[in-house]
Amino acid sequence: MWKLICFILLTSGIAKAANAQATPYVKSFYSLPLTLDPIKMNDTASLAVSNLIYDGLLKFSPKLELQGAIAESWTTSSDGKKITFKLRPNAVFHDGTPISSDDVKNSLERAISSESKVRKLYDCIEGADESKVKSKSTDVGIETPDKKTIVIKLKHPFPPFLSVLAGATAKVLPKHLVNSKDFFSHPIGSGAFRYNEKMSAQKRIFLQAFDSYYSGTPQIKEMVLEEHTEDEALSLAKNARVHDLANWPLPNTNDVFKFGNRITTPVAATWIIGLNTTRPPFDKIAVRQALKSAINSNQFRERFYPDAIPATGYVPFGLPGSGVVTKNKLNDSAIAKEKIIMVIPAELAHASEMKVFFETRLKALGWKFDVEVLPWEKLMEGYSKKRHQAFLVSMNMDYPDAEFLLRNFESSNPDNFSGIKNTKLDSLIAESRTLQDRKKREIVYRQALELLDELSVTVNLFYPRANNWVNKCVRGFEPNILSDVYIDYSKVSLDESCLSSVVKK
Amino acid sequence: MKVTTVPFHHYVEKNLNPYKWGLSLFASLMMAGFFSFVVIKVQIDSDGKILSALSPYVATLAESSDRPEILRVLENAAKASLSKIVLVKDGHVFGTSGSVSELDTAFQKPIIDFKFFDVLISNGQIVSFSKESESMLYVFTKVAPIVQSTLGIFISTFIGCILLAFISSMQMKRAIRKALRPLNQLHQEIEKLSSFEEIQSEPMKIHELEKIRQTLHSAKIDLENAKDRLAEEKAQKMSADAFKRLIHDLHNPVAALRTMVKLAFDPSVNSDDKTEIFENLPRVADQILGQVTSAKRNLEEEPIALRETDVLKTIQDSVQQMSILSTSKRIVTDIACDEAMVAHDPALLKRALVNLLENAVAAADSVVRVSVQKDVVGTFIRICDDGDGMDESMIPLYLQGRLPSGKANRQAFGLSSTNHIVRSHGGKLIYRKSNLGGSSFEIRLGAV
Repeated sequence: MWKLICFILLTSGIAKAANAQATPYVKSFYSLPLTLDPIKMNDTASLAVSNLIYDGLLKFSPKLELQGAIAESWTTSSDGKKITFKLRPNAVFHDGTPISSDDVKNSLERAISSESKVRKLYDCIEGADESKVKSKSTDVGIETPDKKTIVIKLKHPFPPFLSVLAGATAKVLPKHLVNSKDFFSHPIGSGAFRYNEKMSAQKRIFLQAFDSYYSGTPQIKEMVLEEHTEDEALSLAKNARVHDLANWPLPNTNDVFKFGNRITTPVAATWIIGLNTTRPPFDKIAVRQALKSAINSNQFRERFYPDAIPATGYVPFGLPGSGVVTKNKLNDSAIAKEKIIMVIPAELAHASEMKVFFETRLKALGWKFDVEVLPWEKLMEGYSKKRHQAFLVSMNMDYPDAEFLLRNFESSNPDNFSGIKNTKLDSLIAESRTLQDRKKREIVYRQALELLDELSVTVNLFYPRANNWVNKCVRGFEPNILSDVYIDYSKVSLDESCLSSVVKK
Repeated sequence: MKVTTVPFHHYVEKNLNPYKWGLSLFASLMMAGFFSFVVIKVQIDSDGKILSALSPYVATLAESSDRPEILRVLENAAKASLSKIVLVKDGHVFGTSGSVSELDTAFQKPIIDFKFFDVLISNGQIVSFSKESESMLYVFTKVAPIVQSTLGIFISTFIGCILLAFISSMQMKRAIRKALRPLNQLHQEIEKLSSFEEIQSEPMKIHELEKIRQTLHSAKIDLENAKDRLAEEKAQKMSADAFKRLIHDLHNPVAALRTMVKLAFDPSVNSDDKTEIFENLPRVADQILGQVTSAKRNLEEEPIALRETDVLKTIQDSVQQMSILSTSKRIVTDIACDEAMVAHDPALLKRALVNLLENAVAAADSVVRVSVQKDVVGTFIRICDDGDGMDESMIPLYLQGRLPSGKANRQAFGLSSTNHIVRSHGGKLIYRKSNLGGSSFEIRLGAV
């Protein structure tokens, strides 16, 4: 009898375990990652996937507190120029190799290398000059006193640097594998999920829970990342075939929320129309200012994202430097004679309505304004190559500091989408980096942002409020106020009993 | 209506019960109230300190829109104070230690459900707030944990008080029992007093009770003296009555003697009659002399005091005495009561009973029966024998002592003496024919 009970318990346990692994967690993206190399990432989908499969030294809590990831602890020298990290003894890569300080050093050196698109984020590291990087000089301020200790020396104190290290581009990759040819087609990281397979035809990526993850095995055993259009994603979500639409900028009025939970939070992002100063007619400040004055941001927000926060400057609400606009009156009369083409992502649900919205209003004001709806991939390609005159994008912040947004306008930044070159702006940005005092830094930010507003390289539309849709059976989902990129999925789970009851219904 | 009585300690305990529970409840309420007051006061002070410490810094951060730093500060402060802290700017939640979903939403100003001095309760939370320039800082502390702790204190105090009350009650019961011992002693003494038993009275330690005991003791002595006096007075009265009856009994024979003497000297009376008169004169004179002699003897043996005691004991003593003397004849008793309290002189009445028993034994063939009955009228003692019986016409003469005794060469002092003793006890001696066949003498005592 006892044996029978044991057998029943055992088999029911096995059945339960089988059930627990039965349903993969499906997360929908508007685009699969354009790259899996952290130092080349510039789009949200890539950054989100990076955060799932890789780990950095640090990470952000949902409320932007810095927490140790691979690093167990860290200390900053009194002059703020030396940061010492102690690595977790139990942190390993997906292939089981322990993570060493050499791996960290190599990853940081990759980040400041010439191939890195995010090199500017790390240029405060001692010796991270372009010339030295190009000459492959080893004299970079990154030291490894032992296998579990890494010391980073900075040219000058730069408090946001810790936030940079918590960002989705500051990931640690295995030194012994990263240079292999096909590494990024099947990457090895140390994040909560290991990369399993990509089915390009089906536009799917399969991830598996990493059993040796330093903070414990994630509760989601299998995660599937799928690329959809917004309509597809919404339909699949309603039918419970997709469990997570956190990557989608959904207004709170979307009826998909009747079929799941809406977990809302502000995010450190700003929706803008970027104006390329290298392309006429936006090489003229008067035209940029006139267009900025002509676009009614509030109308756009109320029409398409009514729960978003009205834009009051370039920096999102709630961050130092927010609400800063120029004190000078903008020119509102220099309507360009040239034709202007603005591109917007095709994946947006109301892309065609947005096209009509802009074209109708601006043409009525005398602008020769056309809107082109482009797939995200193409839009990003044009963005990188600075081909677009104007483009509608959401600027998501990698770390919660105005410096992240301002550095986009530095003359020397290859990622300067506006192409603006302004020495005063450059000097203000450079000055801000040298200030350890938050208040003093904020004052410099404000000066830079006032100037930026006057330069009118962006039309600030709104600050989005993320309306994260998750299936009703998703548990432990906690949004991050920086971005959906930083949601900690190691704590998220699917309630199998809830799912089976939904299926029965 | 039947009244149920309970021991004094139970009575006291029962009457103290409401106080026992009430006092425990009161103490628990007071303790819980005091505790919750202290906790709430401490919490409000703590919240106030947090507010005054945080407000200026948080307000500065709010002016700089430094939300990440504000969230970090609020989160850590909330963790330390086990509260929720919310920073409100322009009517919206700018920072919170709660869910990030609350950020940038319109702040719902708490509706105060309860206000007591500086204590503000809203939706089950203690609310404290402070205003610094354009921002408001709120601290919300849940009341539930305080209520739970207060309830815990209430229950533990109540249990403690009840236990203490039970222990006190048990000790009180013991003390009452101990304190009641002298009262019980007093009660026993009073009981013995009513049953005329000998009292072994001991001094008591309680002053008031000792005074009662002494009063009781002296009252008992006074009562006994009074009873003695009453018995003596009664005996005297009975003696006087007996003397009156003797005079009354002598009146007829003396009057007859006078008439006979008068007729003896009356010339009109014929000689035959005179001869008969002269022949009877000595007999009548002898009878009068016998009656006077008997009376003289009887009057010498008057009862001194008539105390109310159990006459059955006197009867049994008499029967026992006669049973020893009479070996050939059986004396049986038929006593239909357990006790017969009659005012009598036991020695004197015993003598009378022994006289009657001697006569009965002498006259009986084999059996003498002594029966006693008691009713509302009085106590009846009958002594019967199975002998030949007596001439009923001669009984009054025997009772008056005017005829000589048949069984001894003497005047019939036995019956006369018995009759006198019975009368001196206020009773009556009646002769009847016995159902055994012989004589039956009945002594009626009590309310005759």
